[in-house]
Amino acid sequence: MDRVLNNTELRDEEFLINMGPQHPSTHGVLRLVLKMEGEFIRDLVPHVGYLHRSIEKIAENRTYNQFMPYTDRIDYCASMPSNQAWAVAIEKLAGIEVPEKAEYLRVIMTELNRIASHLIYLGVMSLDLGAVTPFLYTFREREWILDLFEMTCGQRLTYHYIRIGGVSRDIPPEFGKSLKAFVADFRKKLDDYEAILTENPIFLGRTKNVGVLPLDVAKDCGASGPTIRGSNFAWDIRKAEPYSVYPKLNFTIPTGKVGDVWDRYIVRIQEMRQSCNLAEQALDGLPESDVIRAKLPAVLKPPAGEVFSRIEAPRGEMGYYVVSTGDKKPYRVKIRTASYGNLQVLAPISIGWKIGDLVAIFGSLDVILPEVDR
Amino acid sequence: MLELDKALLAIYAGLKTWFISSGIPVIWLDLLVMIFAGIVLIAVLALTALFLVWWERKISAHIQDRLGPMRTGPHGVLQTLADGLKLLQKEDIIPSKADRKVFFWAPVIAFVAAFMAYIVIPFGKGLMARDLNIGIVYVLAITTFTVISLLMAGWASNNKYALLGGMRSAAQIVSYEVPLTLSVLGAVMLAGTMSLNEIVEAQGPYFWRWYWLPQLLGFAIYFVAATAEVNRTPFDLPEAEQELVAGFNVEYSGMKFAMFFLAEFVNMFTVSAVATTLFLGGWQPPIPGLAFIPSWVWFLSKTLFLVFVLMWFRWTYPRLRVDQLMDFAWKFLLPLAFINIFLTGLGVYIFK
Amino acid sequence: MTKEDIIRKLQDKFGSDLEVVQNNQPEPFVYISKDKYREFCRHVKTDPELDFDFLFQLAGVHYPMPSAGSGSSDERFEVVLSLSSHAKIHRMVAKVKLDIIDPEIETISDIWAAANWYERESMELFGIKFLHHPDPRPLLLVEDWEFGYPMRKGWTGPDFIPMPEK
Repeated sequence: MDRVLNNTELRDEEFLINMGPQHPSTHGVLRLVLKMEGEFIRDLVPHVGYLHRSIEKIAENRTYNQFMPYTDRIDYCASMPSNQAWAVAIEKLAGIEVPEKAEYLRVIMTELNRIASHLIYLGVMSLDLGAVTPFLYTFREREWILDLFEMTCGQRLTYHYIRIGGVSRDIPPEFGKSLKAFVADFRKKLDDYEAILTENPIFLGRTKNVGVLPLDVAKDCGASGPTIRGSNFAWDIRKAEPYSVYPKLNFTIPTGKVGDVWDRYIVRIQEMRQSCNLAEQALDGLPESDVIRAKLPAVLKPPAGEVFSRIEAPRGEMGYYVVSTGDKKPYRVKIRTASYGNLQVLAPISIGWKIGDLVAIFGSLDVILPEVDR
Repeated sequence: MLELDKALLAIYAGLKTWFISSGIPVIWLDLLVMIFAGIVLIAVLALTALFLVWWERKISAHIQDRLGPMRTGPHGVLQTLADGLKLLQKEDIIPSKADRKVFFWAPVIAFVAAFMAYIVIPFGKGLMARDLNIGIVYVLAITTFTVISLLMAGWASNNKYALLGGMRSAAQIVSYEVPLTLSVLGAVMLAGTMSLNEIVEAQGPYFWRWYWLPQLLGFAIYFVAATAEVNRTPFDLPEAEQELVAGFNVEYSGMKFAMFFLAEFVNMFTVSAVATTLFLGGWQPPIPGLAFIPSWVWFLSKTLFLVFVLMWFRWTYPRLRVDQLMDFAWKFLLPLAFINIFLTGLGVYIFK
Repeated sequence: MTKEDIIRKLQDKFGSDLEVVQNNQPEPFVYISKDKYREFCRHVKTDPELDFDFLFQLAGVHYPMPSAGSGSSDERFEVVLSLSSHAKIHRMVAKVKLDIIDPEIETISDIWAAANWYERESMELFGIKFLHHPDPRPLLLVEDWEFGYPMRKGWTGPDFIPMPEK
């Protein structure tokens, strides 16, 4: 049974609509073929692969350290966690221990990046629903975070900051003050965003009870992160399989109640607040030390073996399966990204809704296409 | 001081004596006056539309914490002119399977309908093109023309998206016509006449007596329905770029697109002008002491304030889905409009 | 359940069809034989103590020559499943060896729906046939791709420039 939708199998009132690959609403290059009946969606087939860059094949031809900049570009909106996923995988394979200061710095950076990524989600989601202004406000907040990152590692989008064994540089002295000022200001701004959107009747009308994701569908299709947490399921790798210094830090996992678009929105807003707390705690707990990277040989050759590891990226679980033969280049690298699982959920939950709802549902899944295609 | 009506009347009287003295029938003078009024109206409205486009960009920019056009002229005032010149130079692309005649006439009808409503609107004391005694009915009838042009545009483009957009648009406008017309009835009942000039005169230069106060519900219903009539957010689904890539005018380019675009802004000004006339006292000053400020200044400022509110809505609210839009019109606004008429009728009976 | 418990439970059920990879990773890495593959997947998903309800990823690997890193030294294709459990919070890696000339295996997309896209990807990139797959179209490559299976070792195609060896 071939799942290509074509014109021969349509009933009288049905027609095919093609959304994308260039479309203001699909975040990245995604083609959705919809079988519509009037305003209702009867079937949906996504076509991906427009951004396939064969990163897995490239990995087989680079050393472990040379591959790190490629991980930035797997998900460029959350570049720090993407770095960290690779670092954690290789550290688990080779049994490398990361110095404590580097772990705290990693937490600060990944939590800030989580906020930046969720800000992009917030802006683009409200833009899709028609409220243009929050888009510009969230990008204004994000500029401060990007300034913090530029202060640390010189880059605004693809950082290559977290390295195997630690981080690449220490934070400058003015970082701490700027971070504290940012967090204080950002909490107020989050209240502003909530004032515009959370209780707005039009927003509620567009998002409440729309695109409900049942928990078993989510688990079966491989959804993770805020997408599955919206369906009243408190699953977070930072709590379930803790890595780095998360066991020492205090934070909660926000969950939704029903699993509709509004719940996923609220989960991300509250996650931003939690990330503020985490970044502050990590900054306060930063040990006095000069060691920010473990001592490693110039060309890293992990022992032969395989490893399976994962971390909590802003969009969900990102993990690696790496096969090493003891050589300086990995034998096989399989990258599993969060959006890959989250996008598979789109077809089951949007059938039966209207095109206007499709935009809201797709926005709420927070899919980044480069992650899907690699 | 700057009362134009006396000056215009004096000029007309002088011209009339000159015409009579030189033996030309007065009918030529009336014809000349009508053509002149038409040209002046079109010029004023075209300038207003240009101004509104610039103003929208500035307002949206400042709401979004940025500056907007700053380079073309001081604070970007010449930006619209630049955009207009650019649109004039664009290639006029007509889709190959489009219905050419219908495709051509759709923007023309939209543009003409937008302008025709201004014949009866009182811009100031004595500044009206024609004081029809069915003023408000005429305006409502003319603004319905836009439905035809939207359907024509959607159909003639031979494009699924445009057709969907055109049909949704038509459904939306037709649905919101009903509460719009009913809310206007309240003000007509209070004034006792349908002529727009007499409604303004009946409100008097006392802002507490203007019809926004006794007709608070009617004003609210009118304004919300008017926002839907001109396809502005939160009711701008037909043009929702994020969903259907510009909807009914997706296949239009160049000057035809410019006509749709300008027609939208002129329509915005129309509904605000009618709201000002019916509910905010038109060209009347708020207290008699301020009558030295010319009446057309009052009219313009009140109308521009309402246009500002319309723009404010656009940049604040998300948009409603099409079925929510329809529910809102038929199940919420319409019953409220009926209640408004009933209460107004009761009030008129009791207090007169 | 700990690594040893999982291994013991699986060995009780599958006996000689199961082969454990010896390594010092905290998760059990096991080989399951090809004909018990679907039964294995169904068992680990539905068994109340194992309860592996989440298929994290499904990868294909190409071993054209004996390779020291993966617990076996034949030439083969492999399909590697990374599984995890939400309720029990334990993980596992299950692998199955496929023929080097004509790799084929049954689909498990009816057991875990997530497998659908992973299997499509392995089909087009490695050439592994997944029998009875509901939607065997290419996922990432274009529909009319005719240059072989890119992820196989030693693949060359048009515009492929290998990195110079340093």
